[in-house]
Amino acid sequence: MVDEQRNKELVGWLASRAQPFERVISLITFLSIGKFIVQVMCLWVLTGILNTMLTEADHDRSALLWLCLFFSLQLAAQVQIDRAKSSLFERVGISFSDQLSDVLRSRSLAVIRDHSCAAWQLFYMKRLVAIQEYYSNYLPQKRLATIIPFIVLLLVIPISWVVALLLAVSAPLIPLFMWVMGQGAAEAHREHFKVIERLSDIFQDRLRARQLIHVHHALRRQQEVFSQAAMIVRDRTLKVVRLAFLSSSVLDFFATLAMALVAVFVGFSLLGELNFGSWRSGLSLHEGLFSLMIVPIFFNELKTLGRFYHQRAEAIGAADQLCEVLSPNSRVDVYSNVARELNLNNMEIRVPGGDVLVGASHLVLDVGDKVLIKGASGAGKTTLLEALIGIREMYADNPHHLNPSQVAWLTQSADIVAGSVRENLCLNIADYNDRQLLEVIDKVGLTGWLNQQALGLDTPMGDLPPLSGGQRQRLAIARIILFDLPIVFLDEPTAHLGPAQAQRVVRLLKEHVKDKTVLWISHDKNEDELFNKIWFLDGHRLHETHRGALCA
Amino acid sequence: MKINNTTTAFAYLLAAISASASIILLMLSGWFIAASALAGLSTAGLVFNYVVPAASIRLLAFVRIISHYGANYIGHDSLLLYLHGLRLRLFGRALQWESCAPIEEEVERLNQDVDKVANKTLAVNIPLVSGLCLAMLIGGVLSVFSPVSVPLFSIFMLMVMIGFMVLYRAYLRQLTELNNRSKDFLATFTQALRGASLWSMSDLLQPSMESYKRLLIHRKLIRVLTSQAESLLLLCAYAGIVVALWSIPDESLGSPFLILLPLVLLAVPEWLAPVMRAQLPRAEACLGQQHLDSEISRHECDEVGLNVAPLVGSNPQPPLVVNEMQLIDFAWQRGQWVGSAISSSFKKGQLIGVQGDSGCGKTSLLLALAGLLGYQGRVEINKRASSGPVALHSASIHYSEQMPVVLSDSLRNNLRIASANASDAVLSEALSFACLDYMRDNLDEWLGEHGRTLSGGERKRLGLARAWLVNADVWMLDEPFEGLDEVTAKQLAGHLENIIPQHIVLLVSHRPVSNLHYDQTIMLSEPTSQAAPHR
Repeated sequence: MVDEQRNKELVGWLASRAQPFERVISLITFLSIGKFIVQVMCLWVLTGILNTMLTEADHDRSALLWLCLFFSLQLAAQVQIDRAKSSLFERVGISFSDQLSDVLRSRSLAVIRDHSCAAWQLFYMKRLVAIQEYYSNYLPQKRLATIIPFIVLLLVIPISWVVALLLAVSAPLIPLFMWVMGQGAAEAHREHFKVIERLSDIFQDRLRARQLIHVHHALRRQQEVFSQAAMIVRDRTLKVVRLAFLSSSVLDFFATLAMALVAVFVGFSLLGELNFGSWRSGLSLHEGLFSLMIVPIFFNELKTLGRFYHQRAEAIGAADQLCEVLSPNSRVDVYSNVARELNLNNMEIRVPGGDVLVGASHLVLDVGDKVLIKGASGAGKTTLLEALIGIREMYADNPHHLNPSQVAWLTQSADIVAGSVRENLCLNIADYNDRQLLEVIDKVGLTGWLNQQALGLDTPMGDLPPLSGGQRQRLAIARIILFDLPIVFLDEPTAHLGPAQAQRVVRLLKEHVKDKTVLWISHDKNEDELFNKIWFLDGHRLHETHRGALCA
Repeated sequence: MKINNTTTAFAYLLAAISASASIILLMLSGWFIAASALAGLSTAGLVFNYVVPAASIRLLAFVRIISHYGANYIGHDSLLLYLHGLRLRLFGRALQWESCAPIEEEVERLNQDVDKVANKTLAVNIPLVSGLCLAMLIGGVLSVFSPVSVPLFSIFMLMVMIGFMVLYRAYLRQLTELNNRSKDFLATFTQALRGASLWSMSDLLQPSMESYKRLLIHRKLIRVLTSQAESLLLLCAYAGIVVALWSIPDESLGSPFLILLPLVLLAVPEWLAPVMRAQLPRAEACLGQQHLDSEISRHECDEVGLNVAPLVGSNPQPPLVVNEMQLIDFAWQRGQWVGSAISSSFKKGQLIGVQGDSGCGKTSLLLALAGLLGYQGRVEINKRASSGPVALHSASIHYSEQMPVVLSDSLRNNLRIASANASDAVLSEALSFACLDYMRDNLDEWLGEHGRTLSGGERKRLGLARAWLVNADVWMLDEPFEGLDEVTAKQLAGHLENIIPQHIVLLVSHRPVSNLHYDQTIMLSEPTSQAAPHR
C-alpha cells in the first residue's frame, strides 16, 4: 500500500529528527522505570502492612515509615520525569521553529509564495505542537509500554505461576492491540483527517468568499454543500471512533478480565479451595494482595499509550508537511556562489513536478544593466526574479546568483509594515536622522501629506492615515532611495495605479535607478529609452533582445 | 439543529455505570481476597458464601467493558451531532456578516472555538458526571461497611474539589494569556510574511520569532501546571493512605473492610485523574464560548451591516430587469467615509468607464450600485425610484470582484456558483468567453488551497466567466484586464464589445485597452469623512 509506505517513511523521518533529543528521551525512560520500581516497593510494603493488620490484628507503625519514604521517592521521581518532559517539549519546539525560520529566511519570498499565509500559521500553531507532543509524550511512553509489562511478569512469576500465566496469556494481545491500532485505525485516521481538513477548508473558504456567495444569491446552496460535507465528516469520524474504541476496548477487556480472574484465583487459593498455582502450598494474603494490585500496572502503561495515540497520527500528519519544507534541498545557502553580475549557461528553473518553467541557454546580467521583463501572466516572471537571487532553486552549468542583501524589491502593492512612518522607512535597523527622512519624503512628493498628519514621522501606519495606492508606492520608493542598494527589482510596481499616479511613480523610479542594475517586470512599457535589454518569456523560454544603440 | 438530549443522557448513564463498575470491582476483589484469607485461616466452620462474590466479580468485569464502549460510542455520536449543528449555525450566521471579512486567523480561531465548545460533552461533562457518581458511591459503600473511614474520605474529597476549582481558575487565567500571546504572534507573523519583499533590507522575521518563543514558553507553563496538579493529587492520595493506616482503631483491626479505603485511594489515578484532566477542556470550552458569543454579537451589530441589504438566502423571484439606470447625487457610504456624489444616467448598450486615482472608491461605487454597500442620494431603475440597497440587490445587476475568489472546489462548482444548473456545454462556452478555452476539458479539476492555484490573470478571467454565466442586465467589472498580457486583454475586450449592445457595462480599469470605446466616463475624486453616525 502506497500510504502505508509513506507512513513508514514519515515515522522514519521523525525518528531521524529525534537524534538530538535521544538522550533526554532515554533519561525519561530510565527515570520512569526507576519510578516504577519504587512504586512496586510501595505496593509490597503497603500489602505487608495490610496483611499484618488483617491476619495478626496488629499495627505495624515502623513499616508505615518505610511506606512514607517510598511514596516520597515515587513522587520525587514523578516530578523529575515531568520536569524532563516539559524541558524536552520546549527544546523540540525551539529547535523546530528555528529550523523553520531558517528556511523562511533563506528562501523568503519564494517559499512564502508556495504556501498560503494560513498554511504558514498552521505550521507554527499546530504542526510544531504535534511534533513536540510526539517527542515528549508518545516516544518515551512507547518504550515504557514495551518494557514495563515484562518487568511485571518477572516479578509475578516467583509468587504464583498461575497469575503470571494469566498475564502472559493476555501479553500476546498487546502486539495484537498495537497492530489493530496501527493498521485499521491508522487508515481510518488518515481518511478522517482528510475529510476534517476539507470541511474546515470549506468553512474558511466560504467565509472568505462571502461576497461572492452574496452576489450570486447562493447562500442556501452553499449551506447545503457545507451540511453535506459536515455529515460526511460525522460518518467518517464515527467509523474511526468505532475502530479506535474497539482496540481500546480489547485492551480494557483483557485488563478487566485479568484482574477479575486474578482476584477470584487468589481468593480461592486463600480459601484453600485451590491448591495449585503457587510454588509453595497456597498463597499468603500478602502475596495475594500484591498480585491483585500489580495487575493494573501491567496494563497501565499501555492504556496511557492509547491515550497518547492520537498524537502519533497528528505528528505523522505534521511530518508529511514539514519534511517537504525542511528537506535539505529546500534550504538554499543564499550566501554561497553570490556574484555581482550573472553569466549563466543552460539555466533552468523547474516547477516542483520537474517540468521546466523558465529556461535560457545563455543569460547575462552586467552591472548597470536595465532589463525589461515581459511575458504572459503565469509565464514565471516573478519566479525568475526569485531564482536570480537564489531563494528559488536554479539549475545551470555554472550556478551562481545575486546577493539578496544587495537587492531592493518593490512589489505590485507596496509593502507597508506595522509601525510609524519612521519605522517604515528605517525598518528598525537603519538609523537615519529626521533631516534625511524628511529629505527623502520630499523627494517622493509626500511632504504635503506628512504635514497633514499631526504626529509627523511618528504617525502610525494603521488604517487611519489613508494612503492611496500611489502614496503607498511612493513611500516604499522613499525607503528604497534611503537604503540605496545597487540592484533594484521592480515587480509591476504600477499595476494598481491610475494613469496620473503611475506616471509619477515611474518618473521617480527612473530617477532613482539611473546608476543601478534594474530588472523591471511590466506589461505596459514597450521600447522605453531606459532599458538596454528586454527579456521576453514565452513558451518556457527566455528570449533576449538588445537595444544596440544604447549599449554602444 | 437540536441535540438529542436522550442520547446524551444515555451516554452519561453508561459512563457512570462503567466507572462505578470498575471501582466496585476493585473494592469487591480486595474485600473478597481479604475475607477469603480470613476464612481460610479460621479453619473451623466459618460460613462464607464465596460463590456470589466470585461471580459478581466476573459479572462486573463484563458490565464495565460493555458500558465503557457504549459510553464512548454514544458520547462521540452526540458530540459529532452537536458539532455539526454548531458549525452549521455559525456558518449560516457568519455568511450574513457584513463589513470586512473576518481575517484568516480569526476564521481559524472560530473553527477551533467551535471544536472546543462541542468537545464539552465528551471531555468535560462525562468525566465530571462519572466522577461525581463515583464519589457518592464510594462514600455510600464506606458508610455502610467501614464507617470509621468516612470522615477521612470526606476530608480528602473536599480538598480535592477545592483543588480542582483552583486548578480551573488557574487554567482560565493561563489560557487567556495563551490566547493573547497567540494573537500577538499571529499578528506579527502575518505582518512579517506580508512584508517578505523587505527581508533583504531588514530581518522583519525576528520580532515574530521572539513572540513565538514567548508563546512556546507559555504552552510549556500550562503543561507544567497540569503535571504539578497531577503530582499534587497523587500526594494527597498517598498522604490519605498513610493517615488512614495510621489511624485505624484497634477494634476494627482484622476486619476485611478496612482494606476498602486504602484501595480506593491507591486507585485515585484511575478514577479522579480523569476529572482533573477535564478541567483544561472545561476552561477551553468556557473561553471558546465567550469568544464565539462576543464575535457573533460584534458582527451582528456592526454599523456597516445596518444599512446593507439583508441576505435572504437564495432569491426565489426572477431579478428585476434593468434597461436604464439614473443616479441622482449618488454617493457610496462605508462607515464614516462617503464617496464623491455622482449624477448620471446609463442606458442599455452603453459602456461606462469609471476612473480616478487609487483610493478614491471606484470599487466602493460599484459595490454600492450592486446593492452590496450603503449609499446616499437616489437611484432610479427604469425611471422608478429604488428603495435602497435591497431593491438594487434584487435587480439584475452583477458585480464582478477585483480579485475573484476561488472556492476550494472543482472548476465546475466554481463556475456553477453563478448559474446553478448550467450544463457542461454552457460552462465551456463561458470559459471561451473569458479566454480560458484551455480549461474546458478540466471541469473536474480541484481548485483552491489543496488543488491547482490559478494565476492572477486566470482568476480575473474566472470572474468574467462567472459574469457571463449570470448574464445580468448590468455588468460591473472591476479591473478585469489587470495582470493580463496584451494579446489576451485585446481578445477579451473584443468579447466584451460583442455583449455590450444587450447590456449596461460599468468598467473600472487603469489600463487603456485600444479596442474599447467608452460611451461616457465617470471621474471620481477623494472620499470625504463624516462624523461617525450615532447609533
